[in-house]
Amino acid sequence: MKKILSLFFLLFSFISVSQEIRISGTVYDKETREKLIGAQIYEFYSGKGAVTNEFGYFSLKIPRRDTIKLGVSYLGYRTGILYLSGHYSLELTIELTPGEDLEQVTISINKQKPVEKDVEVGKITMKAPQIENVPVIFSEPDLIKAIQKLPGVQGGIEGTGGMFVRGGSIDQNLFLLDDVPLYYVNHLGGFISVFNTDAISNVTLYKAGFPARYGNRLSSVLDIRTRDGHKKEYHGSFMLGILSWKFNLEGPLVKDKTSFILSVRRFPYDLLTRLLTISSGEGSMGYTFYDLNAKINHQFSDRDQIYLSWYYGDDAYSVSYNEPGIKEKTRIAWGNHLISFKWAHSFYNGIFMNNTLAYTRYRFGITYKEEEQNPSYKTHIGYYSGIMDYRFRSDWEYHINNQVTIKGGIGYVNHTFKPGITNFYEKDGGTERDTVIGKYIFHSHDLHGFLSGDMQLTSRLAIQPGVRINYYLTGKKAFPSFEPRINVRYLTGEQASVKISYMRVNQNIHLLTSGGLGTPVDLWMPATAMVPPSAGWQVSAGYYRSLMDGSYDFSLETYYKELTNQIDYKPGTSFFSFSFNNWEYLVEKNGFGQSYGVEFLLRKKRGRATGSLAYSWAKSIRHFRFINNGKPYPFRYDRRHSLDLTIAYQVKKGMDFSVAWTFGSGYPFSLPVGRVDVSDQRYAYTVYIYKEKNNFRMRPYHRLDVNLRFTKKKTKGTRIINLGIYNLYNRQNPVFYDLAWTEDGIKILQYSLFPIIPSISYMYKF
Amino acid sequence: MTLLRKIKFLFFIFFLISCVKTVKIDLPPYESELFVLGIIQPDSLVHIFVNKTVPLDDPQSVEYVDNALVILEENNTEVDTLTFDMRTRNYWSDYRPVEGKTYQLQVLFQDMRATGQTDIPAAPDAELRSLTIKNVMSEEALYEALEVKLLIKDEPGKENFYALKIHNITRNENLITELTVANDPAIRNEGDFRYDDEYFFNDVVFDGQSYELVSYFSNVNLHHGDSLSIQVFSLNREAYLWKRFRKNRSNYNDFLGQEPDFMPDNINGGIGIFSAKNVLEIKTVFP
Repeated sequence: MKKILSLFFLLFSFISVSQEIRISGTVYDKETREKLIGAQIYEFYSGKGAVTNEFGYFSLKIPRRDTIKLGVSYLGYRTGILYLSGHYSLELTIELTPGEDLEQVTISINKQKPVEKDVEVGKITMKAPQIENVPVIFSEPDLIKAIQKLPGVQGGIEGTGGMFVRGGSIDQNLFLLDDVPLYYVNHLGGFISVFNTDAISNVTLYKAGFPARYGNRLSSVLDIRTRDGHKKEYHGSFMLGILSWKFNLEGPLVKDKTSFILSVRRFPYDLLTRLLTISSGEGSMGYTFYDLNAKINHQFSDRDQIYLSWYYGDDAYSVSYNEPGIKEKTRIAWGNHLISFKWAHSFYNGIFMNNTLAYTRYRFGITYKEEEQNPSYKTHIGYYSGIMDYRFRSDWEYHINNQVTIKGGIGYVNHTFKPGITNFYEKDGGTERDTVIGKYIFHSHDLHGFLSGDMQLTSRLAIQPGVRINYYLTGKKAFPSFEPRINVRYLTGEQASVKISYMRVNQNIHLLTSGGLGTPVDLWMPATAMVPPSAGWQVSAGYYRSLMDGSYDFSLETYYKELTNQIDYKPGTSFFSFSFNNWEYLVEKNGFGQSYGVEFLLRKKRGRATGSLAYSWAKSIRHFRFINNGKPYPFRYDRRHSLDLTIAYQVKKGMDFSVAWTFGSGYPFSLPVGRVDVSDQRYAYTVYIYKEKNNFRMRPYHRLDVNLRFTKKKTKGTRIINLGIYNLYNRQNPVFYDLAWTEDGIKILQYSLFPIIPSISYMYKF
Repeated sequence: MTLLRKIKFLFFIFFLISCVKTVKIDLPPYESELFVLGIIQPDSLVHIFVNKTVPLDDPQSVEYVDNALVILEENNTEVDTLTFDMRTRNYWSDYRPVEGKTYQLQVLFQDMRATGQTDIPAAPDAELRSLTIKNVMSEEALYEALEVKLLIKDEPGKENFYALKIHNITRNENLITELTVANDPAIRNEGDFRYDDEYFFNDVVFDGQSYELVSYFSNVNLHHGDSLSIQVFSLNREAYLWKRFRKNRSNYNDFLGQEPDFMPDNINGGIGIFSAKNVLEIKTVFP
C-alpha cells in the first residue's frame, strides 16, 4: 500500500475529549498544488466519508481508535491510503498524484461522488477534460456547448449562445465565475461562450433543487470554478485555431505558497482585415473578440488562502474612414468586466468561511467620431448601456458531525442599471454643443441571507433543507421574499437512490431581449413596482443508479415548474421600436409560465470509451392576458424531444476520437395561416391570420460532429492537433422562417446557417 | 436612439446575410372562412364589414363580399337585414342599438355561416374635473399642453376598457398629443396606446375605484371660448383588443424580428369581431 502513497501530509494534532475525533483538511494536486474540488475521503473502519468543497476543504468525524485507515480519491488521480493514529483530531494537507491506480491495488472507494449519493436533484458536475471531449464547431472546446448536450438544457437556435433550462427563459440562468455573476456569456453572437476552458477547473449545473446559497435566477445555476495555477513549476500552452488563438501561462510566484494563472484568447482575423483595408488608404475595419482570465492565489497557512481574480472580455467592431479633410471612426464594443477578491479560512473545529468582495459589469457601447478640417467641424456621439454590480458575500460552513453540516451566509448587491445614455458633442466653427440625452440610471439593492443543512438522518435518508431570504429595494419599493428549499435522498440499495426536491426562487432583474435570442443590445432592467420580480417554484424527483462498479450511471428525472410575473414584448412590438425610457409600458407583464418533463441520462465514465446518452421530453407554455387572445401558447423554446449522444474513444495512445449526434424536435414558431383584406370606414389593409401564437413547428434539428485528436509528447512539452468536422452529413437545419411573395402566391422559406464545416487546431503545452 | 436603431438594424442585416440556403416548406392546412368586423354603438347606425379569408399561399385576393345575407337581431329577435354599400364596402342598417340590450349577428354566404353576439356596455360613469393649459416636461423637452382631469368611477368586479377623445367643435378638429411619458399611469400602462386620435386604457391601475385620470394633449390649436366635446368610451373586450390590434398593425414593418399580433376573435363559424362600445359625451367651453 505504501507504494501508492505518493502523498504528503502535515499533521496538527489536537486533544479531543470526546469519543470522536475530527479529521479535516485540504486536498491538493501534488504536481500543481491546485485544490481538488469534489475529492472523496473515506475512513474504512468506520465507513464514514466526506467530500471536499469548492476550496478543497473537508471535515470528517470518526470514532476514536488506535489506528484509522483513510482513503483519498479523485478522478484522474491515484488513490491515496493513509494509516494514521486515531487518538487525536487531525488536520491534514493531502496531495494526490495525477495518474491511474496501479492494477494490483484494489480500492473500494469511488473517484467521484456517485450520482446516487448526491442529495441534490438536477445537479450535474463536469470537469475540464469532459468539456474538451465534446466535439464542437471549429474544434474550439466550449463550456456552454458542452452543457447544451445535457438533458433539460436547450441551446436556442443554431449560431446563438445562451441556454434554456427546463422551459426557462434565457435570462433565468445564473452564470457564476468563482461566485460572481457574468451577465452576457457570448462571443461572436453566440458561436462561442466567454468561458475559456484553459482557465476552468470544475463546473456544476443545477437545474432544480438549488442550494439555498444561490438565488436571483429562476431556472438554473452554472457554478464555474477557475483553476488556481501551478504552485511548483511554470507551465503554459498556446493554441492556434480557426476561431481563436489562445495562450495560457501559470506558475508559482512563491513556490508552494503563491501561484498565478493567465489565460488570454483572441479572435485573430481583424488583424488581416485591418491590414487589407488599411492598404487601400481609405480607412480600416475589423471585428474581434478577446478575453482575459487572470488569477493570483496565496496560501498564508493551511487555514488561510486569498484569491484575486480578474476577467475582462469584449467583442469589438470598428470601422474608420479617411479622405482628405475628413475622418470618421465608429466603434461598437460589448463585454464583461469582473474583479473579485476572496478570502477562505478554515477554523479548528470544522468551521469554514469564505468571503467574497466583487465588482462585475456588462456594457454595450457605441462611439462615433467625425472630424472635418475645412470648414472646421467635429462630432462625437457615444451611446452606452449596461449593468454594474458591487457585491459582497460571506458564506460559512460548520461540520457539526458526519451527519450534520450547517451552511449559512449573507450577501449584499448594489445594482446600477444604465439602459441607455447618449453623449452628443458637436463643434461647428465657433458653435459648440455638448448634450447628454437619456441619462436614465436606476439603482437597486439586494440584501440576502441563507441557512441550509446537509443532514444524514439515517444510513439511507439524507436531506438538505434550506431557506433563503431576500430583501430587494428598488426606488422606494421593497420586495421581501422568502424561499424555502429542500432536497431529499433515499438510498434504495447499495448503488441506487430516489430523490425529490422543492424550491422557490425569485428573480429581481429582467432582461429586455429581442425575440429571446440573447443579443448584445439586450437590456437588463430592475424589477419595479410596475414590473415586479419574477418568481417560480419547482418540484423535481428522480431515480439514480450506478452500474458495473460505477463505470456507468444513469438518472431518470421528472419535474414540474411554474413561473410568475414573466414579461414579454407586447404584440406588434419589435426591437426596432423599443424605447428604454418607458420600457415598463411596452412589455406585457404578469405572465405565467409552466414547464414539465422527463429527463434521462446514461453515462459511461471509465474505460477507453466514455460518453453519454441524454434524452428529454419536455413541455413549456406561457400565458399572458393580452397575448394570443389570452390563451396559453407554447414557449418559444419549447422542444418536445431532445436526444444527445456523445462518445469519446481512445483509439490508441495519443489518438482520441469523439463523436456527437444531436437531435431536437422543432421549436414552435408563429406563422399566419391565412389573410384577409379589410376595409373599415377609413382604411383598407390586409390582415394576416394567426390562429395561435407559435402554431407551427420548425423542422427537426439534427447534426453529427466528429473530432480526432492527436497528442504527442515532445522533448519540451506536448503537441495536440485537433481535426474536426461539424455537421458531417451537411444537414440544413432551420434557423428562422420568412414569407416570400412569388408568382404562385406566398411561400414560406426556411433559412439555415451552418453547412458541413471542417476545422483544425494546433496546441502546444509546455 | 437613432444611432442605436441603426446599429440594431446592422445586427439584423448581419443575421440575415449569414443565411446560406432557403428551403420551401408546406404551409399548415387552412380553409377559407367568413371574416366579420363590426363594433356597434347605441344611437348610431350599424355597419358591418364582411369578407372571405384565403389561405396564405392562395394567389387570389378577395377584397370584400357584397352579396352576403347579414341579419341583426336584438335579444334574439330579428330587427333588420343589412344592405351593402359599395362606397364604404360595409353592410349598413338604419337600426340604432339600445344600451343594455344584447345583439346577435348572422352572416350567410355561399355555404358558410358565421354568428356573433355582443352586449352594449353601459356608458362610463365619469365627470370632468378641470381643463388647464400647463407646461409639461416629457422626454426631456418642455411642452405646452392641455391638462384634462377626469374622474372615472370604475365598475368593480369586472375588467373595463376605456377610450378618450377630445374634439374641438369650434374648429372641427381632434386634439392630439406628442407626449408619451407625461400621461397618467393608467394610460402609460398600455404604452400610450393611441389610435385614430383616441387614447385607450384599461382599469388595471384603478380596478373598481373612483380614479382621477390626468391626460395631456399637446400641439393644441385651442382658444378661449372654443367648444369642446370630451368623449369617454366604454368598450367591450373584443372592441378594445381590435383597436389595439389595429394600432399595432399600423406599426407593422416587417415579418421577421417582430412578435406577431393576433387578431381578436369572437365570431362562431368564422373569424373577426362583433362587439360594442358606448360613450359619455361631456360638452364644455374652454374658459
